[in-house]
Amino acid sequence: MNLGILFFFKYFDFAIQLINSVLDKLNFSISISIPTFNVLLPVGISFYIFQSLSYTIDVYRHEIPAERDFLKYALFVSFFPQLVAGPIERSKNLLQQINEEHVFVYENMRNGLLLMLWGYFLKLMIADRAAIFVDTVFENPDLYQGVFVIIAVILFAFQVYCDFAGYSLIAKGAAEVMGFRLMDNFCAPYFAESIGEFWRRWHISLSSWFRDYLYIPLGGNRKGQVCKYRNLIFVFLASGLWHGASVTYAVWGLLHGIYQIVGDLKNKVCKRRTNRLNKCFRILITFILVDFSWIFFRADTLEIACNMIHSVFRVHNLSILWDLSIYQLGLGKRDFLVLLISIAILFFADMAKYKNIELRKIIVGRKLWCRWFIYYIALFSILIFGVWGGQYDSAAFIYFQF
Amino acid sequence: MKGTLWKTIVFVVVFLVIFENVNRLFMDKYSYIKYKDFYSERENLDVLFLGTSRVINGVDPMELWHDWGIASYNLANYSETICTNYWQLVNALQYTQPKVVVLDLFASHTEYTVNDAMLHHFTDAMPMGRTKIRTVMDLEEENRWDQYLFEFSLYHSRWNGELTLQDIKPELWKTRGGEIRYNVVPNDQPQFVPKEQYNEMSGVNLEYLQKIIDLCKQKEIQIILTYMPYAPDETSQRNANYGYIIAKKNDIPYLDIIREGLEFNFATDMADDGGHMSALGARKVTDFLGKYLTEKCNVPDRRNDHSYDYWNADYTNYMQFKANMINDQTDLMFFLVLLSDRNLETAIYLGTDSLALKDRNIAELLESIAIFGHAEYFIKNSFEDNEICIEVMNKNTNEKISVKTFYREELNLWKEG
Repeated sequence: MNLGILFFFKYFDFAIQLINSVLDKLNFSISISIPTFNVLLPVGISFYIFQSLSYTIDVYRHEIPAERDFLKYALFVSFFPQLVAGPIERSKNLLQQINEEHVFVYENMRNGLLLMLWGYFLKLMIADRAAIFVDTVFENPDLYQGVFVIIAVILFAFQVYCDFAGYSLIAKGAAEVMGFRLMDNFCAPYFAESIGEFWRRWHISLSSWFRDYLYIPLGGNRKGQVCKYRNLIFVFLASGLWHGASVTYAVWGLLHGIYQIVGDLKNKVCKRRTNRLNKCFRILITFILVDFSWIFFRADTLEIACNMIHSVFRVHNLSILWDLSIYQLGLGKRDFLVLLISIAILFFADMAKYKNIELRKIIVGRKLWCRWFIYYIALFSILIFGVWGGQYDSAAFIYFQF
Repeated sequence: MKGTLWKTIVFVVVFLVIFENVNRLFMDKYSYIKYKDFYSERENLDVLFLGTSRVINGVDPMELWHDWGIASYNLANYSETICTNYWQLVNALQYTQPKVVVLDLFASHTEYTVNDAMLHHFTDAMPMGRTKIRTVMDLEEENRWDQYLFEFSLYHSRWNGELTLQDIKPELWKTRGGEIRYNVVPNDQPQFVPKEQYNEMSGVNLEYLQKIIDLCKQKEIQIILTYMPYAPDETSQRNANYGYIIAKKNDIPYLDIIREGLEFNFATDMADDGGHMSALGARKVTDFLGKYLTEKCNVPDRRNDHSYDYWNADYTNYMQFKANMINDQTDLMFFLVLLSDRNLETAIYLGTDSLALKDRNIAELLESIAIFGHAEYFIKNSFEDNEICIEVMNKNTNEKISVKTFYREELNLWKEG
């Protein structure tokens, strides 16, 4: 039932289009075309359908008792902080908390607000700023090629991470203010040394969902190498399509499945070296592989993605780095500077997380004046430098425009 | 628990204090520097001027004070419409009770479209309250209300190279809302369409004009409709002629000022070919309105009312501002347009066969000085024909304001040497 709803709203038109294109390719003498519906996609449907599914499966597996109170179940499915963009909570965790008594705890409020502040930093300082450049390149692939594409793809890696992680942190923080504990959804994913590790750090609530409810039931890695690789491909294809009903998402998912298989085969042949230089090299290679796959995730069509990749090798325009044309795509010099500083802050924050250092705990443990100073700096940096609200256009405000 | 409550309160208060200052720093300052004096006016204002840029450039409240003792404010704004004029009035009436409202009808036939800059210039300085909320809700689309009711959502992005020293210490206008223009662009004398030929007014413009008239009647304020002088095309003249219909219907005066016997000179009195008056044109219109308001509307002369003494101090500041403007001009035409002033005495030194007198535009501006000011001419053999020296004195203080020598360059341009 749940999957049927999801299929109808999200994949029905996509499936019809696929069937139509197959019929078209078969070149029937009579043209056959099944009409599509252009159904409006309900916001966040993929998230709460998966959340409902996890409940149904857990009850079926007798891992949790069925919830008899409809309102509590409704609250579990529609819990507002994470309704729209996750994390996809498990019934074992969230449903149980709904049954707990919740009282106001100052520390919960402070910690939750701090988490939200960091989420807003990621979203408004990095994701939405990088998006200006990225959108310009991806919406005009014929105009911007070569190095423009490389920069856009690197920035997109930060955009998609900060956008998604930002939302997740805001959701987690908002829940924490009310005394609810949601799961961590991201854990320094770009410090991963392999694609497998990347998926243990990226969108954890989704990847663990696929692991528990699809990969393991399919046999996981218990039925031999071939079955394991088949399962990997199937799970990542499903993961790709979960993100959107489009061939580009399917290719993105497939690519990650292939990365995993190649990585697994490589590990069988070569022994992993553990020195620091090798570690950095592996992190870099993993980032490049992930970033390459983001091209398919972001491009509107497969053809555009392929053309953009082709242009990186075909067009040699390194000069844009010093002839200022890089600043003509919506992000001026100052915006780039703010973006780079913000990414540097993110780098150090993720490095701390990677090393299990909890920055929030360190800040909260400081003297009052020191932590307030940090709070105010963070708040006003986001308010002033964040990309939000209208954009002031001084040219439109010159009042001699009678 | 008590301690954390206090800490939270202090944190929020400190945040609000910092935010208020940051907000003030980042605001676009136009609205503030134009309207600040209005919101902090100590005494009642007897006359309010509403309209578009033609009114800002055409009415000088400081000269109205100096010559007629009229306490007034020029509330007009660039690109205003009749709808925004209405809300200007509704807002203004919360702060002052004028005897007369002068509304210019230039925008009477302009289709209402939201001009972001204009609306911000009007609303930014408005104190937050019911009127501001109603104004924004009426004039702007719902998805843009936030940038008017919480301006920081727009102006925070001014960090990106827009902030200047003026944002730290903004210099207020010294003109009570008027912005006089010191350049001159000679216009051709227009041909006028008879009053009987007019274009009907309709839609929201007519609705809001009637609302303005009704509001004034309800508050027992005399309303005067005007059409500021300029060289209009035929359509604009037909639009202007509709003012007579409205005025007759509501039994109120309408002044199409160019038809009121004003000695308007299109060679010297316009600042551009877009219908905006030069300082000289504004001087004439201001004088005309001063006379009309005093004689026909019985607007009181406040110069002997001691509660208005601060206006005299403000006028002295205004004269200093004007003296600075005179000193800053390097173009002879822009310089001359400022000299037709009752406070100034001008001495002009020319060669025996001066080219300045043969230049029609310069000659007309030299002549115009005598309309409101005083000029004496001195012919000197020692001066070249392409040279003119002008000395300007403040008649009241006998202080020398400026001595400048201009030379004729190519294209009949006279520049300071």
